[in-house]
Amino acid sequence: MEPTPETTTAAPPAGAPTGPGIATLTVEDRSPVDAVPLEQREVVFDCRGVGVRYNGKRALRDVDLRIHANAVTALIGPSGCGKSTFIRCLNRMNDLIPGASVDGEVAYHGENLYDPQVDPIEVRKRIGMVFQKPNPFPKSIYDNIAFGPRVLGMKDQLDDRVEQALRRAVLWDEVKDRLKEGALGLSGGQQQRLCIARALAVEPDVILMDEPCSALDPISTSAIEDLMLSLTDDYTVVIVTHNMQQAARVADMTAFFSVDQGETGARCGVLVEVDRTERIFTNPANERTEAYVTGRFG
Amino acid sequence: MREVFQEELDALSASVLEEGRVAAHAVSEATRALVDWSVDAFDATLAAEADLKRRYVDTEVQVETVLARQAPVASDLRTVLAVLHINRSLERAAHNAARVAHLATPPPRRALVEEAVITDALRAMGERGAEMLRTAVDAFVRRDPGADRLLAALDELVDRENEKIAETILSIDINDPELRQWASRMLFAGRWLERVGDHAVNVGERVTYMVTGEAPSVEHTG
Amino acid sequence: MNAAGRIAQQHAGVAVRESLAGRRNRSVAAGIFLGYLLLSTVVGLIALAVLLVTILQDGLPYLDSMLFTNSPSANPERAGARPAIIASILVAVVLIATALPVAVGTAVYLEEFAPKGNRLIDLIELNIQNLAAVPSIIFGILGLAFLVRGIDLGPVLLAGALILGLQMLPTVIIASREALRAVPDSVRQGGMALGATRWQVVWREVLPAAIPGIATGSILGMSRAIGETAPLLMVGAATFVSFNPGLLTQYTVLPILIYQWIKLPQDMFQGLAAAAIIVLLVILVAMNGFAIWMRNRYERKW
Repeated sequence: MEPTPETTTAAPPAGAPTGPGIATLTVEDRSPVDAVPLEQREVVFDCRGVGVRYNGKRALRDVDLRIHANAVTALIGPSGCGKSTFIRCLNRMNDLIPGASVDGEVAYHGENLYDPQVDPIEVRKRIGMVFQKPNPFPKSIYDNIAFGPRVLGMKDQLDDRVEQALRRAVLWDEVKDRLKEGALGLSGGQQQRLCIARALAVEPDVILMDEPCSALDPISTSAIEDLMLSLTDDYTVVIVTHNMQQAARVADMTAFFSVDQGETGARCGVLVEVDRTERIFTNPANERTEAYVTGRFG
Repeated sequence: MREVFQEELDALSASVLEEGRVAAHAVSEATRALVDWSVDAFDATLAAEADLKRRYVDTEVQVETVLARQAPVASDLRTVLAVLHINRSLERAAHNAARVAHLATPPPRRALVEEAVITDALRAMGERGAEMLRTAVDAFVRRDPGADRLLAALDELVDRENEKIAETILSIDINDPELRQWASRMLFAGRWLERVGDHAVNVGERVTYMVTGEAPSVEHTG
Repeated sequence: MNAAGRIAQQHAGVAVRESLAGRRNRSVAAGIFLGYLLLSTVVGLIALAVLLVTILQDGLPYLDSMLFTNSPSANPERAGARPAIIASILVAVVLIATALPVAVGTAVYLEEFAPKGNRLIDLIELNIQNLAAVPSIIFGILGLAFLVRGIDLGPVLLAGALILGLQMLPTVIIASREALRAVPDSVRQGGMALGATRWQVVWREVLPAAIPGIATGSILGMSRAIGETAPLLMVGAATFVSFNPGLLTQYTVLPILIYQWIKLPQDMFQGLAAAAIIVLLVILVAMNGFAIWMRNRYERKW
């Protein structure tokens, strides 16, 4: 078997038979990050008792969740369970919604994100976000990627930054000859990768994705899922998805949110269970989780 | 919700139940062929084995379809995987029964005490084996989390009786060639019947895993 | 298939065809409605055509260089519209320099930065809507009271232009707000999620995207302002000006000059008026054409 460019041949164990007619396994170099078990990795977000109210009406309560570095954490659950609301707490995008108030504590690398001294702009520089519907600016591809660095004062070597970001997002080869063309001329999947590249260009620490593939066809979805997995080498990824199979495929940890109905009939989102993805999909601890992942949720 | 999926799961359970019945029947008839030298029983055993082979293939196809189309997870996945394993165990049990039937030979001396001991032991093993198969499949349908312990307890008799056969054969005069040949055949029959018990125990372990999701202990060789 | 079967199939086919055809009689009402719409359009077109043809007929013979080089004069042989043309252009310049930035700035503030649901802001928005409906002569009175007499600016071009600017504000504000609103919120969300400040997002992404709509609104507002007479008369625009006007001098504008010439008895002045109308029309068409060109050039498909 010819080794492909991205893989290296693992040396056969000493004494193992070699020679023509005996196949040799080529094994990709395992990323050093994978060597550290998930729970021992650094905690990027430590959320305690996080809740959100919109104009006084409670939408989410009491979320205790730890998000580990260099992994994909998926938030799943039925509609209205607050998973999108929660992910917006992680980069203070809820600040932009009038009437929204966040309670509880969100610690980012040990620091309280909602401390009055903290500048939300700095927060969003480090914690990027990709949205459900691709939202490139109505400008050229180059200007889209360059927007972040320009406004944040990272103007040096702009061309390099743009190329790096596009390469990271596996989009460079497709657009390198038309960087000055309009971004809106790209296909849906390409636009979403452009948005990912745009987020990567400001060199964040974390990438949040709110249902990034729900507007895309299966092939684009697959490309972006592969991208998500490759990003974990350098970034921490949190995704909201209503597609359970996607969570099963890409996530290391899965958090299941659901809706609690109070006595007054008020519906509020809660975190039901969070565990390694394998556990959630083979033997979840909570019966509500079981009911949801098996599709018996009714 | 997912009514079609639920119907498909129920159909799989029904298939397993029916297969269990056929396998148990095969073992009973094989035992009857072995100790009563009944030609009807012999034919019935082979017919049951053939029937189970067909059902085995059908169930496999059903499982494959459910996996491809329904993407089962969590307890559904464990159930479907359990069906796959149980299907195999039952087919093997029926195959063992057929081997037993093929070993049927009348004892040469007839009045020998040892021969009676061996024959009684084989009868007991066969009956218990059939009962274990029925119990195991029933435990599957009832989703009994204690299925592994239940079947393991039932298997003790099978192991004891098999030991008895081995000991008795060792005490037989080895100079009688006819007797020797009969005895070695019965020894093999005992081993096949013991295997039936093991298959039933495997089914029990599978059922417990299906229900609890806790990793199964190492399976007995089947 | 036997005969009975074939007949049954034919009947079935006819039934399907009939149900597909629907009730064609419905199209009578639709036809009448369509006819009414066409008639309305045609009436408008005919009126416009008649206007244009009449003006062109009367004015073309008098459209010569003298119109642009000479001042108004009692003698129609030597009359021209130069001062008025210069004044109209100066007014346009003042509008662009003062009213446009104020209007666009107001629109940007109200749309992007003002807290929503605030009582004061709602009041301001309501007043802007109302201002758009105020008759132009009221603006003239306002200008007279505050600019011409109040701060003693006098009946100068600047005063007139400022008042026209004030009158133009609501139109441009409303059009600009629509243009800003048309920019999808996803653009703002995307920009802010990257760590940009609200101002950076507005200045770099929202405003550029809204330019076509803002330009269209601005040109429309200015076109109306260029054609106004009543408020200018109130603030003291002269009717006979023979020198080139400046910001702080007396002045007259094209519409007022046209009005003057039409009142004079000589036939030649009628022709001159028509010619001046053509000049005014050309200016307005050019402005509107520019707006359309801007819109088409910068239009983006969302």
